[in-house]
Amino acid sequence: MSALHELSLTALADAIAAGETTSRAATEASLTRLKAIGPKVNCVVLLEEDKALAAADKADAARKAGKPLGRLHGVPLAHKDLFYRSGRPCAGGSKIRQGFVPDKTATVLNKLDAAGALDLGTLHMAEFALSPTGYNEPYGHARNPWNTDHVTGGSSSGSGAAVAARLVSASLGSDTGGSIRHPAAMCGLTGLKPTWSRVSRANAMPLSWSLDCIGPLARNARDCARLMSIISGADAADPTAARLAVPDYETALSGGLKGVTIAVPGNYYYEHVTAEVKALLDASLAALRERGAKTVATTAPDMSLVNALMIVVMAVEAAGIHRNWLATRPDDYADQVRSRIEPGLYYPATRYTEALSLRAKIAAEYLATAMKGADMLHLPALSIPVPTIAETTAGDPAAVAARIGTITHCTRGINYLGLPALSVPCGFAGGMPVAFQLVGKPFAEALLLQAGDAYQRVTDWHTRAPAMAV
Amino acid sequence: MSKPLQDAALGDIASALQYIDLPPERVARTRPLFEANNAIVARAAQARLGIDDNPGDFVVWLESFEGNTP
Repeated sequence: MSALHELSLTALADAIAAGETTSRAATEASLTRLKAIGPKVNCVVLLEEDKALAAADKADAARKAGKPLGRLHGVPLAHKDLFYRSGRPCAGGSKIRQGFVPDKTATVLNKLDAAGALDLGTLHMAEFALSPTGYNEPYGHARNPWNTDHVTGGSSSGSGAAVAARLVSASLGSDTGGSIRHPAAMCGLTGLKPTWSRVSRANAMPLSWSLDCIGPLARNARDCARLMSIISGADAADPTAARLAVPDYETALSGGLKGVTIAVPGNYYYEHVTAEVKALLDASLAALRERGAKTVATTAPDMSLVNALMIVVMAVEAAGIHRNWLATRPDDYADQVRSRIEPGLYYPATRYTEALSLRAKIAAEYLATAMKGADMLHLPALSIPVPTIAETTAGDPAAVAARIGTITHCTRGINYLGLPALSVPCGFAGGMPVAFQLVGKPFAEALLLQAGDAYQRVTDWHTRAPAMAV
Repeated sequence: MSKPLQDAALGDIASALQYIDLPPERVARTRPLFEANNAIVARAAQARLGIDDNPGDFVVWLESFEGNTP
């Protein structure tokens, strides 16, 4: 068996269930790496070592006693510092919420607990989940394990860094404009933003109710499938969570793509793509065809409209959530964060309701145009090579803003459309990961995971790990 | 025909209605983005929305894809 930290989530869960290793050994291995490597990539907020080891021993005892095991029995995980756990501090990457201790637990954490997973602690994130790079002025930026001069992507920056550096096998993040897909793409991971409403957001710190989605960052599509089977579904605590049945996403991983048509919109999404990234995207399409998929060229509709709608909805909802603190503690926000929320104070309420009322029509038009009868879209996840921290924080403010805008070019509109999207690693440019994203019709996560898994059966980009020794 | 607001006026209105001090220099920083998005959405709404359209349509549309779950 490989070293424990090298095992994927499903491999580790299966090894613990089979008695090939123990939860204690896996938990100790994770804690050792979180403590030794975590500070180098600034990805850890809080570790609950004693609680985790006690839970690991309990999990091992349950297995020995022949008790029924959940699908993640004894597997140590850690998640973005945005999911509330009763009695544990949860600052959401901010100075303002420092010291906040919730008295409720996020539904997704309850579901993972019920599946037998262990929770080692909390991982770093962008301030209030508002940065595509992982920018965090109060606590410093997380650093990319592939090269610590580079950004991790955000806002789920700690999740991206921790899974990539093999500190934990998977982690939950949240995605309002790309916050799962950015760190997945920039750290060489597989990350799924589910259909809006597929996963309950109850007791997770909100940014924008109409756009926020919770999903997994993991080493491969199979790991994402297992996590999605566990965390999806209706929830009395979140009336917006869809009541549709939850499939076993792992059973959809057939390995083949015969009969699947993938649309490739060639206009808007390729505006900033560099030649190096384009060559890797083309190679990923060839691999998908090799698995049986057919690809067709299409055209994306007017994305300036989709992006404007997304920004109005996000800014207004974020301003509603933050208005009290903007009034009483404006200087406790980083300027980059405050400047993204403040425009939400100016939009007329009519503009906000119009943006929401347009959503069904615009989403239907998008599918009819960009997908045009196909089953899914293939898009760049990030058009440009992963930038350095300096490139996204220092220098001419206009150039920095433009670079940050480029990062969300292919991701933010998908949140307004409510569609599921899977980021899949497909190579390296300048030593940093490159990824494509597959975008599906509503609730077609199973098909996206099937395609991601099929691709990963003929490629090994998802198995590459940065050199980070304890 | 609508008239453009001065930064100070927009700041005054927003400050008064949101109970937050929003000086003109802060308004000016985000004004171009705000103004562009506001105009794009206003034009789209004018062209495409009727009295029966509402935010709930989106959930109905999403759930019409129930068959996508295997």
